[in-house]
Amino acid sequence: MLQKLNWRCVLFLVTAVLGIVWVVLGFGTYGFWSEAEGPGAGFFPAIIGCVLTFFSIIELIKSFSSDQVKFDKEALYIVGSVAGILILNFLIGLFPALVIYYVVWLKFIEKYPWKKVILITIVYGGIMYGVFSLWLKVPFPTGILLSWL
Amino acid sequence: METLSMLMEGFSVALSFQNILAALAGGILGLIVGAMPGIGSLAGCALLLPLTFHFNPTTAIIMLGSIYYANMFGGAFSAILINIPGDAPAIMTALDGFSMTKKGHPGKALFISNYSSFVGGLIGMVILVFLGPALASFGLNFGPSEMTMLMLVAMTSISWLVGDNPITGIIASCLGMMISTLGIDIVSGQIRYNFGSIWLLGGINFIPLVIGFIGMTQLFDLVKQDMSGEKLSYVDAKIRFRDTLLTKDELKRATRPSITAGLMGTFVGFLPGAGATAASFLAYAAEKKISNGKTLVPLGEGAIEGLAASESANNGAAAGAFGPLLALGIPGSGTTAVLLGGLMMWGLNPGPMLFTTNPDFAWGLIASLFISNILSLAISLGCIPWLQKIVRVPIGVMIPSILMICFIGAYSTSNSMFGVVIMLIGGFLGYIFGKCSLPTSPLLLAFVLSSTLEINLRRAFLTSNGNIAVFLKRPITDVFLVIFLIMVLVPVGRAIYKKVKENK
Repeated sequence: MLQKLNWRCVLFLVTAVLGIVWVVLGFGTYGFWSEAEGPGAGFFPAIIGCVLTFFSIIELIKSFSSDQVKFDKEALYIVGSVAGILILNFLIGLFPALVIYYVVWLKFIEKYPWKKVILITIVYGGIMYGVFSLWLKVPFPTGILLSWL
Repeated sequence: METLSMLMEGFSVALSFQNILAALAGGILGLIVGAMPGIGSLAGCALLLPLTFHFNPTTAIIMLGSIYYANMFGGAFSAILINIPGDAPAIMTALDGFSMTKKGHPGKALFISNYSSFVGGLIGMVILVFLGPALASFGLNFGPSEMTMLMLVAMTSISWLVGDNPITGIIASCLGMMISTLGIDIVSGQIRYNFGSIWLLGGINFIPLVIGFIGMTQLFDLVKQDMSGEKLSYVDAKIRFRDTLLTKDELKRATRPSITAGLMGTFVGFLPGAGATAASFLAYAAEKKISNGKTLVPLGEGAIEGLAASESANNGAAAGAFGPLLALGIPGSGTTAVLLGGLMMWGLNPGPMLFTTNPDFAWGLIASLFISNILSLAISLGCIPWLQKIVRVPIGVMIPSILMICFIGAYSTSNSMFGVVIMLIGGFLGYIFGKCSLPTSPLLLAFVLSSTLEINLRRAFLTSNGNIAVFLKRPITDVFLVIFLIMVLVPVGRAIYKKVKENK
């Protein structure tokens, strides 16, 4: 189903709609021009919206005859990785989530031996933790499980 | 003479112990990050920007300038050794550089790349020293109408530079400008386009957006290569320093293109919106015309001239881009846009007054570029055997490493998960845009330039009571208008001519 969609059509349809939204809000809600104050907050976005809609419609028409866009199945690895990190972040916090993801990727996707996995993770994770957490004192989120503890 | 004495003062600022240390650290980090495929100078600068927060503004920007400059050197390493450009300007480098590697001369290719980068950078810096202040005093004549027209020219040049279909460039530019309108209107203070979300009140942070669009988007290609089992480590032999040295003839063949491409690259770098990528493309195309069959091997098949042209132009443009950045506050590329963000974060407003109000800073930065150029050359030549180990990090390790740094970098810019969300949206959109042939660099450049365009456009209309003739009354605006019209009409005319010719 997803592969049958003409994604170029969808993309330029979305950009055209976005352009219209920007024009409508620019003229209607935020104000395009007032006699006393000149150009309003909606002036510039409305113009950009007009230009975007115009060119999006041209590309939309052209896209009907364009080839299908094919997405790679391999992209799902990135989608899965991101989803996993976000769920783990919610539970145990960002940094531990990233370390677990790192280990899982090296061990189960790349099939590295444990010794190598641990060594690479310690070196790279150590540099990241040292620079961002210890040196720059970035307060990484801790997650609900670690907050309870 | 005055320029030279100011430069000498700049050297006295840049040559302080702390600043040299910062430039050295920036040089090493920049080379490492630049050499890592998939990160590149833009994302590299964005990722390393937080490291500079702990210094005073001058030291911080010297370090950032050094990171930026060393990135340009490092970007060529992965392009030459494993055919993956570390950044966009290194795309042309990969053509001849990787061909040389395949022919068994990776060391020579790396040496030529470093030598040409140094020559191009040096040419760019010398021009910057003499034209930077001139450009600044010229910039004092720029009012809202001139700035509006300049921004329009810059925006147009971005759109027309993206290949066969300028319409997609315009759409991407408009999207970038639309994203920049989210949040509070800078002129009136009115909240706009936040759709009821408190997260959007402050607008969109540029750095997570860049990390997403550039850094994360690369992962989709890397994971595809990884899963297809493509071997990336073509270089098995050790690269020793003596193998990298050039013969007299090879040096001669690299010098002429380095000088011509360095000059060309610098002037392209001075143009807002053009940047190092356009410079390396243009210089490579020009070198193809200049050397027309006179090279030992054709360009694209391991020609020293092609490699030298691409690398020299790339670094010339990197230096040239500092001209409009410092003198007019206009970033010439995505990476200088990150530098502009950094400058603003430290309360420095680049523009015509920078050389007057902060001469220490402006000249210290220019002097530090000379130092960075020499340091980068020394470090990269000496570290060739070690650096190749970094670029030979297996792709399977590279993928989780890049994703990890994307998350951490995006989070640390705002200390909030909103930054991560922006990065992820940018990453996925970048992938979809790439598949649909919608370029992302115009979006990022337009995002950065947009607020300056909007403010000046509205000011111009305010001061002229809405009279559009304000853009026609001054000589500078007229010049920009002519450039703007040429840039818009020439491709249209060419397309019509092509169509008519096809129909015949």
